[in-house]
Amino acid sequence: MIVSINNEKKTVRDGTTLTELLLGEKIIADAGNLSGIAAAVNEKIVSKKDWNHYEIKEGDSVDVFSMVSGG
Amino acid sequence: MQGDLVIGGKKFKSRLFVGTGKFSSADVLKKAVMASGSELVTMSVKRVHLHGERDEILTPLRELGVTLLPNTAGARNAKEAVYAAQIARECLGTSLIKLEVHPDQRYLLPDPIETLNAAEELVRDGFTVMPYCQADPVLAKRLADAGAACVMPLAAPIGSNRGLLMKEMLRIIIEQSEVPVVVDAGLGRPSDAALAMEMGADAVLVNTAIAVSGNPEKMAAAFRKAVAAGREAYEAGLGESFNYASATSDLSGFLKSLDEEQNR
Repeated sequence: MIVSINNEKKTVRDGTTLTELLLGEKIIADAGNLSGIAAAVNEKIVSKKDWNHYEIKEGDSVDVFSMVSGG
Repeated sequence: MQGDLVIGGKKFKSRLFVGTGKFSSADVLKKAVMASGSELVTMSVKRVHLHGERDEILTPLRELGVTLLPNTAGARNAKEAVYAAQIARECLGTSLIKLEVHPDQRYLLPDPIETLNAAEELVRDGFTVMPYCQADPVLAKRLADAGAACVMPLAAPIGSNRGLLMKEMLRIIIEQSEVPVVVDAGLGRPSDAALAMEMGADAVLVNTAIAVSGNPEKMAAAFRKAVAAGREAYEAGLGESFNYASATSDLSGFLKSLDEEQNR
């Protein structure tokens, strides 16, 4: 199925969880250390504690955010 | 010994807050934050770049043990600001949020209506809201009434280094505010920060003036001293000012003795 991650189209297998997607895209290196990042699916924030069992669906738009410098 | 500042139930010994933008490297930033003595530093939320460099400043800042204050910079309306605040809370696990809504890219002036709307919604959602706002005493009062933990009126446009252009309005805000007043944006030199503190501001937030200076670490130390000096002067109570001279030495006694000499 095709999903979009930060506005880029990706093909992933059905039933992919949010954790698997982010590990696969090398956005996270370690599912045990998710400090400083957040993810939203279709502009709804998905709490990190739910990432392991949150399954992405066809056409979902996933946005991943992190903290950067700013004033 | 200066009194502590309390915002949203959190105590701060340092009244200098520091922004983390525009530093040439994470190392320069870390040294500047240390030299500033600041206990509260701001950060922003960004979409992760799928390819390319990450902005790795979170780890060095965490090592310093400072409190992190995420902002909603980039939000153009209340809806985007609320979304950014929720993302920041999920990223950092903090309910502190520096609310910024600035649709205009040239001057980055905050939208007062969207800021107030977002503040109301974020307060309802349990955030400790620290709104960046225009130096408008009526708006500052409305934000405090909406439950903002402090107000952060601008001295001059963000990053302009122009100093206390809004001085008179800031004076009124400070006089009237029932929540702490943090003068934010545009402070260009340590003397600007000292003046804001002498006027009774509870704290100042400085970023560009430190980050783009010739030596950010040294400049951060200068701001630290200026803020402490300004606060100390405010607590001491400034002397009254007069239009005419008022002698500090007893001139009359000296003149009298000359007169007596001539009359002898």
